[in-house]
Amino acid sequence: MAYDPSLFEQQRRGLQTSFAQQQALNTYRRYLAETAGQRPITQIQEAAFGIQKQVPRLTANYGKRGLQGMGVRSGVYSKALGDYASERARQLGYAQSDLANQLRGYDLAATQGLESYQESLKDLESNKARQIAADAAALLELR
Amino acid sequence: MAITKYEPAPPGARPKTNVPGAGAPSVFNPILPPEAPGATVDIAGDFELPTYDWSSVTLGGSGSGGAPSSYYDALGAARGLEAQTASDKLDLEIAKYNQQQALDAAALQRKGLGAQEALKFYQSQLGNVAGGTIPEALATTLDEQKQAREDFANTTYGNLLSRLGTRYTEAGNLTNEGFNALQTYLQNAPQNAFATAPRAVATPAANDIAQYMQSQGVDAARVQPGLLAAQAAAQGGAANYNNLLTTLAATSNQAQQSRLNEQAMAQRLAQATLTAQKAAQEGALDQAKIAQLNAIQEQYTASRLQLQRDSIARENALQDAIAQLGISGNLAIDTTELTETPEERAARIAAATAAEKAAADKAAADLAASRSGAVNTLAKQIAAAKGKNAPALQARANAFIAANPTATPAQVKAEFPQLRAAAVKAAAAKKK
Repeated sequence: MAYDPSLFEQQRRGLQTSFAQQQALNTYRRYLAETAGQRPITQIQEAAFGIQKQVPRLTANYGKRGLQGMGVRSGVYSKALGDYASERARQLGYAQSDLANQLRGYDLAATQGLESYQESLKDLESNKARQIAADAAALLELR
Repeated sequence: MAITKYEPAPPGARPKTNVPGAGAPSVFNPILPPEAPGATVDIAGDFELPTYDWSSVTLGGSGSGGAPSSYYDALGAARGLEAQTASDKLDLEIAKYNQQQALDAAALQRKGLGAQEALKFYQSQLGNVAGGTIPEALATTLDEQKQAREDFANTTYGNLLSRLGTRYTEAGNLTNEGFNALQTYLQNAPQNAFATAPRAVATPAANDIAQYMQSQGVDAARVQPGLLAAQAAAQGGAANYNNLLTTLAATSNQAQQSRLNEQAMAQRLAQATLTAQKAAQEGALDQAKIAQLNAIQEQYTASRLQLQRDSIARENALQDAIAQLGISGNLAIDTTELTETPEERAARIAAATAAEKAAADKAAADLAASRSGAVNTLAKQIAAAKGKNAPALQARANAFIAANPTATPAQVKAEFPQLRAAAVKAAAAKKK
């Protein structure tokens, strides 16, 4: 096959199109993942003092039993609130880590796509050089 | 021309002397010297006995008889005409002979001249082909053709070699151009996706209800286990991710370096391939040139050999032709140019013929003079004898004549007593 720049340009355009499609799709998926991953975090954050009012309800529950209130400092209530806060912090941290890890996956995919695109472009250039060399050898054979 | 024959004169007839030609020498009668009167005796007269058979007759005594004088007159005249005719015929025959001799001599001279010219031509040709010599024109043409073909082969080889060199340079430049462009691209194109990718940062976990806990008199440190777990999870994920990016960036960097090395090696290999191709094609050109020059030399040698063969064959053919000329004897022919006219030649030959004739006549006359008249008559009659006994009679007579050249009539008659009688008898028988 004789060297034909137009063929290589076609391949380049194909790579670019494929890269763009892959990046767009990846970006969109990342957006969906971020949205979906942020939702439990928000729920955990809002559960303490939001509609669920987990913290006030916990305090109120111990207050009804006389274990918490004005001038009252019970160890039971302190332990219960401390456990709740610790568990909430762990769950929130895990959710945030899960979301971050998921988003890194998409970032990694995007980076890999870019790397692959760059590699493909270099393969293309290498093929061009090889084709030129082969054509030069064939021309020499023709004399 | 028919010869007129006459009957012999009857016995006793006398010759006629008043007719033309009378007394001229007869072609049938030898010219004899005159005999002295009384010295000889005509024992047989002028009897003609050419057709008579002597085998049954013997010589006898003399007889007598006569014939009219008119007979002798007619006989004499006839013999005169006969002699004239014979003389003319002889002259004609001599002329014809001379003419034929001249024609034969001319033809022979032409043959000799032709042979000499052929010899000159053969010898001149022989000089060109002696010892297998190739004719100069052919040798020159052959050498010119060989030189032209060699020049063409060398020129073609030079052109092809030059073209190969040009193509090699072009192919090398093209190859270098392609690989240099690749090198430039590789050196300038980004290969840093992993290296420049954002690193993960672990978000520190915080206790957002710590203030509330303090307001409730609860120690905020109670949240610490959860915070530590969350912090560990966040940091672990970020670290793993960053480690992965670092690994991938290193791999990518190695790939980039490998590509650069690959480009350099491929460029060198392509150049080496081109050099090998050039060397192979130069070798093929050398082989083709050698083969072509060898073929030219072989054809040249074969052509020269064939020309030498032809030359040797030509030389042999010329030698054979020269030898054939020698064998034919045509080269020995006297080709001296004749200056005498046909008339002069005829006169010369006629004179020579007359001289020969005179010499012959003189010899005959001398012989006759050395003999007696009787012996001459005997010899004449004996010479005309025919028949089965004639040879024996002639032998006997010749022996007698040789032994007795001057024998007298009596001696002759004594030796041959029946000769006259036989002659007379034969004449009589013929007359009848």
